[in-house]
Amino acid sequence: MQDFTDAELDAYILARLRSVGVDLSVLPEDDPEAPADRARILESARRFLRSTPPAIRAFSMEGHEVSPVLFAAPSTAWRRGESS
Amino acid sequence: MSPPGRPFHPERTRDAQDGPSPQDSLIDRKAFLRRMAILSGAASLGPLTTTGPLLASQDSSQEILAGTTRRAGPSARTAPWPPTVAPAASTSASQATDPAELTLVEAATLIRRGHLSPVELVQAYLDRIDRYEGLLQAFNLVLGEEALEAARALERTPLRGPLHGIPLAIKDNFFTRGVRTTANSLIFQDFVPDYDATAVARLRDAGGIVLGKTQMGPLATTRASTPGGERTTVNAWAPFDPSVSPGGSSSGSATAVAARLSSSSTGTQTGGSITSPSMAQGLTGLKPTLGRVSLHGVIPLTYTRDHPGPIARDASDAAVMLQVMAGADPADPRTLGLPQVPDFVQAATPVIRDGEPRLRWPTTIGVIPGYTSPTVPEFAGQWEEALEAREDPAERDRQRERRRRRAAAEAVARGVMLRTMEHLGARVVEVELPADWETLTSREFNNVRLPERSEAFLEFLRRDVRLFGVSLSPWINGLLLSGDEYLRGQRAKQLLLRRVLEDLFAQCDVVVQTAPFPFDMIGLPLIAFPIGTEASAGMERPIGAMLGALPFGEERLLSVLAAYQATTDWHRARPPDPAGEVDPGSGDPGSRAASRGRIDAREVMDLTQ
Repeated sequence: MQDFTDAELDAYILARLRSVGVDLSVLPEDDPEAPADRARILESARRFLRSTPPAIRAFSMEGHEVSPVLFAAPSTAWRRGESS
Repeated sequence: MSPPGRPFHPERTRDAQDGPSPQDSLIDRKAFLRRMAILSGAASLGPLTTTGPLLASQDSSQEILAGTTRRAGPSARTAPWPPTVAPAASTSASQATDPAELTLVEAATLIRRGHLSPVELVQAYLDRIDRYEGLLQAFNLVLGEEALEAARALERTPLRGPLHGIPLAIKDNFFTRGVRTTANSLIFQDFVPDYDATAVARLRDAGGIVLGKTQMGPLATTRASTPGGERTTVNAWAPFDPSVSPGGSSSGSATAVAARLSSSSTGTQTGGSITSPSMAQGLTGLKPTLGRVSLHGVIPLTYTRDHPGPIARDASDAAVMLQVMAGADPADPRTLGLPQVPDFVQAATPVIRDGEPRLRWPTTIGVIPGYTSPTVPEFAGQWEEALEAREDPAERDRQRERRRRRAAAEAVARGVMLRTMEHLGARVVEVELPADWETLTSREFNNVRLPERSEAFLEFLRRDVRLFGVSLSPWINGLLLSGDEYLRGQRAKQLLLRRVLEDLFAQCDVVVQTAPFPFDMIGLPLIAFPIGTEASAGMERPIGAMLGALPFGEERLLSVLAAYQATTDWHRARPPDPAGEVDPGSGDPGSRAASRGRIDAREVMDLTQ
C-alpha cells in the first residue's frame, strides 16, 4: 500500500466502505470544528493502510503456528476419552 | 539489579512462603493458551465454547473482609479520623477528618463496627461532589437521592456483605437497571437497561451503593469527552489544566476516586483504560485476567480484549472490589471453567516478618530493557510523531521539556521502586524479551483488534457514521483489514502469548511494563500503582508503575503491592482540593465542557483504546 497515491487509496477506501453499506458522504468535507470530517477520516484510513496490513503481511509465520495446530482433531479427542 | 537469570541478592530468595501457593503457580499455561486461541476463534463464530477447567477447584470460601487488618502506619498527608484513633485503630491506617478520605476497607470496617453510617458516608461524598464536580466533571450522572435512599435501607438491614454502605462510581458502559447507560455515545444516548451488568449486580449484592455513572471516552475510546470530542473530565491532580490527561477511557472513574468523590470505581480495559487513568491519578488499578470478571451487561468494544476491573485507592481496596466482582457467570462463557476465585483480600494483606513487611511468596520481578532509562523507546517514537503535528513551535518545545523532565523523574522513581522491592525480599532480574517482541507488540499488531468492533457495530456504521462522533476513525479502519490479515494477526497474537508464557515468564514471576499492551492484548493481568510524584509547572503529579503476571496472577500482583504499600506511602498521596473559585456546576456535561478544548484528530488515534 505504500506505493499507492492518496487518490488511489481514497478510491479503494470509499469503494470498500460503499460495498459494506457505510457512507462517509454525510460528513462535512473538511471542517476542523466538526467531530469528524471526510478529510480526517480518509487521512487516518490511508495511514492505517500504509502501516498495519504491510506490517502484518511482512511478519513471517513460517515455523510458527502457520496452521491452527492447537485445535485438537476430533479423532484425537475421542482417543483421549475427552468429552465434547 | 542483576543480569538475566541471576539474583541480585540470592539470599533473599530463600524467604519463607506464607500460606498456600498462589494460583498462578498452579495454572496449566498450555490450557490457557488453548483457551485464548478458542476465544479468538469464537470472536468470528459468535457463540462461544469453553475449554475444560484450567485448575482443580480450590476452597477459598473465606469471608472477604477476614484478615484485612492493615499495618497501622503514619500518614503525613491526612489528619486523624476520630473513631480510629481509639482501640479500633489497628483496623485503620488512614487518619481522616472527612469520611470521604477513608479507604474502602477503612470505611467498611467502621460501618461494620457501628462507627460510621452508610448515610453519613454517602452524604460526605455528595457534599464533595456538590463542591467539586462542576470543575472535575467525573460523572455523567450523579444518583444522589437514589444513593441516600439505598444507604437508609442498608442502615435498616443486617450486613449485606463486604461493601455494606460503600458508595461506588460505575463507568457508564456498565448496565445499571433503570438508569441511563450511554458509554458517552450518541448510539446509546437514550439507552436505559432493564438489568444490571453482572459486575454491578454483584457489587450491589455485597452492599455497594451506586453513587453515579462516570464520564468516559465515547464507546470506551480516548480520554473522557463528549461524543463530539470536547474534553470533559480533568485530572484531579491538575484540575485547572485540561491539557493534562486524566487517562482514558475510564477517566471519570479515576478522577472520582482520586478526588474522593467516590470510594472506589469500576473501569473497563481494552487498551489501557484501567491502568492508564490509574497511573495518571495515583491510584491502584487492576486489570484482571480475561474472564475473571464477567463482561455481561457491559457495552462491548473488543470481545477478545474487554476486561472489567476495579480502580481503587490501594491494593486492599482493589482486592475487595475484585473479590466481589469476580467469578463465574453463565451469561459470559469467558468466565466459565476457570479456577475458583481465590482469596484476593488475604493476598493483599501485608505479611510482617521480623517486624518488617515482606513478600508473601518468593517472587522474582522481571525488568525489561531500558526500564530505568529516562526514555522508553516504544513510547518515544509515537510521542514525537504526535508532537510534530502541533503547529506552535514554542508549545512543541515546552512539551518536549516537560516530557524530558517527566522521563527523568520516572526513571528515578522506577529505580527506587525496584530497590524497595528488593528490600522487601523480591528477586529483581533483568529479563530478555521474547523474539519479535517489538514487532508483535507494535501499534500495527495491536490494530488487529479493530475489525471486532467494526463488525459488532456495523449496523450503526451503516445507519449513520456521525453516531460515532470524534471516535469514528478506528471503526472505519477496522473495516479495511482483510480476512487473511486479521487471521495472521490473530495467530501472531497467539504466538506472542505463547512466547510470553514460555520465555518471558521462564525468567520471572511478574514483570514490569511501560505500556498496557501487550498484556491487554493477550489477556494477562496487569496492575498499576503509584511510585512517586513529579513537580511540574507548579503542579505535583503522580508517577505510576505497572506489573504484569501470569494467567490468574492477581493474587501474586496484590501480594507484591501489599508489601510495597506497607512500606511506602505514595498510595496515600491525594491531590489537594481545588482552591479558589470553583463553579458549583450542574447540568449538562457537554455545555460545561465547551471551554476545555477538543481532542484533535491525532490525539484520537493516539489515545484510542
